[in-house]
Amino acid sequence: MRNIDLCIFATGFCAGSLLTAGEDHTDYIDGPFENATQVTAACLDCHEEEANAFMTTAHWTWKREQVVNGKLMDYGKEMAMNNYCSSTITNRVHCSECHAGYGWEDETFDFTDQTRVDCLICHDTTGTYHKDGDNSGWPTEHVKLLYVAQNVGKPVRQNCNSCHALGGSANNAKHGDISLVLDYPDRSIDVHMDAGGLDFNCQDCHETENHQISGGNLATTLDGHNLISCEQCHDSDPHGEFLLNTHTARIACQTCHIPVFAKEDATQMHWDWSQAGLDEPPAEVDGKEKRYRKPIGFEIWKKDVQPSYAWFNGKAGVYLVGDKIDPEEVTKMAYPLGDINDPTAKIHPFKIHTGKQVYDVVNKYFITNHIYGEDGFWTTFDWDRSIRIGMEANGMDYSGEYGFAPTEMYWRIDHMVSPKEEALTCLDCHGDQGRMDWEALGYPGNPMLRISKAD
Amino acid sequence: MKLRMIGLLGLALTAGATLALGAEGGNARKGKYLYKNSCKECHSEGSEGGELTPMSKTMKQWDRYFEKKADEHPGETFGEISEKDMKDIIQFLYDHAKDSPSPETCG
Repeated sequence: MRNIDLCIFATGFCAGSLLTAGEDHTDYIDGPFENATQVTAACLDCHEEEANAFMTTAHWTWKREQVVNGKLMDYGKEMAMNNYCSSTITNRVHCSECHAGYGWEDETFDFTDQTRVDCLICHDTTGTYHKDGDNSGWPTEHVKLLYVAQNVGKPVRQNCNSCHALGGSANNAKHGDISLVLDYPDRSIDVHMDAGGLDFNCQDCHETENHQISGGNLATTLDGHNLISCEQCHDSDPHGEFLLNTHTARIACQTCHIPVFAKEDATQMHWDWSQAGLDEPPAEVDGKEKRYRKPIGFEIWKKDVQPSYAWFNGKAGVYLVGDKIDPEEVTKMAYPLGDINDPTAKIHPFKIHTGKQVYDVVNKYFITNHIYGEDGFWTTFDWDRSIRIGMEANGMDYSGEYGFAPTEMYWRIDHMVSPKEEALTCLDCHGDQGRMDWEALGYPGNPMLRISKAD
Repeated sequence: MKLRMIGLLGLALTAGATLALGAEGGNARKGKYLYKNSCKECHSEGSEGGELTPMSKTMKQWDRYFEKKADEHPGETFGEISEKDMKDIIQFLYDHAKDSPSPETCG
C-alpha cells in the first residue's frame, strides 16, 4: 500500500505541474520558421544534450541490439515484419509519419543530423501539431510551427497516442488497449488514466530517464529489456484475501484487472490481404464489424473484446524476413515466450490479431510488399508489380508466383485497467463457462476442479 | 448577469476572430472530452437542448454559429466555459463536421 501512496503522491505532484502546461517558451523562441528543422535548431541552442540522448533511443533508431530468436542482432521497426502493412522497408514515406524525426524516406536519411529530430511530436502542448500527411514525418502544412514551439512542455497522453493509438491504418487498429479514448478517459476506461481522477500520464508508469522510455512492444522488444510492471507501485500481495494473493505468482495482474479491451473504440482483429484490390466488397461485409477497403482488403473490427490468454515470461519470438513458412499452417508473426513449466512466466492477456499475408509460393517465405507511393499496391492494385519492387528493394529472390497464407500476431494487453469491482472473479475462470482454455495453457483441466475432486 | 454577458460577448468575439479562416489553433481531441463533459448533458437525444454532435452542422454552419449566435446560447454552463476550452470545443465540432474529412458523432 505504501508503494501506491508514494506513486499517487508523485503522480499528483507531476499532474499538477502538467496541468499548467508548464514551460512557457515564448521568451526563448521567436521564429519565424520556414521549416521544422529550424525549430529543432532553435531547441538545440539549449537542449543539445537532450537531442544526443534522444538519438540513442528506439524512437529515433527504430532498432536496438538484442537477442532475437536466439541470435544477437539489431532488430526493431526498421526491419520487422508485422501482421498489418507487412514491413516498413519500401514504405518509409508512409511509415515515417510515426518516426520522431523529419524526412526519413530512404536509406540516405542522416541519423547523425540533430536538426532532423522532431522535438514537437512529443512536446507539443497545443494539440495542433500533426504529421499525418504521408510525407516522411514532416509536419502537415497547416501546422503553425512558431505557436507550437512556443508552447512546448512535458508529454501528455495525447502526445504518445498520436502514434501509439493510430498505427496500422486507424484508431486502435493495432494494440487494442491503446486508442484515442485514452486521451481523456474516465474511470471506467482506465482507473489510472482517469482524467477526472488519478490522471496518470504515460511516463508515470513508463519511467523515463535521458529520453529512454521504459516498457516495450512485444513485437519489437523481444528480450524483455527495460520492461515495466504493476509492482513498481503495487506489491506482490496487493489483495485483502489470501486466496487472491496466491494467484499473483503465476497470474499477471492484467489478467484479472483488464477483463475486456477495445473499450469505446473498436480494434482491428483480422486483416485479410487476399481480398484487397477488389472493385466490389465481399458479400459478408456489413460495414460494422466486417468491413472492406479496396487498398486494405477484408477486415474484422470489434469492441469490448475478451482477451486471449497465454504464458508470458517477458520475452517474445517473431517471424523474421526470409524465414520459411508452411502455408497450410498459421504462422505467428510475434508471440510470447514461456509455458507452464517456466517459473518466470505468468498467464497474461493478449489480443491475437489474425490475417492472411502475401507469400512467395516457391520460396515459401512472406513477401515484403511495396504498398505506398505511385508504384505501390495502394495505387496500382497490381500485386505482381508491387511485390517485385518490394522484394528487389529488400534484396530477396521472388519466384513470380504469389499466394496468401494465414498469420497471427500477439499484442500485450496492459492498458484499460478496469475499476476493481469489474475485475474477474473466481467463476470467470474456474466456472463451467470460464474463459480460460486450461488444456491449451498446459493444465490437465480446470485446476480448481482437480482440487475439488481431491477433497 | 452583466459580467456573464460581457464574458459571452468576449467569447463570441474571440471565436469570431479565431474562425475568420475556419476554426484553427484549438485542440480538437481535448475538445471532444470537453464537449462530452460540458455539452452532452443538454445535447443528448431527448434532452433539453436536443441532440447535437459535430455532424449536426457543416463546417461553415459551425463557423457561423460561433461568430454570430453564440451569445444567444442559453444556460449557465455555456457561459462558464473558459475561452481556451471553448476554442478546443469549437475545433472538435469544426474538424468533425458533416462535410469535414472525418465526420464524427460524439461517441
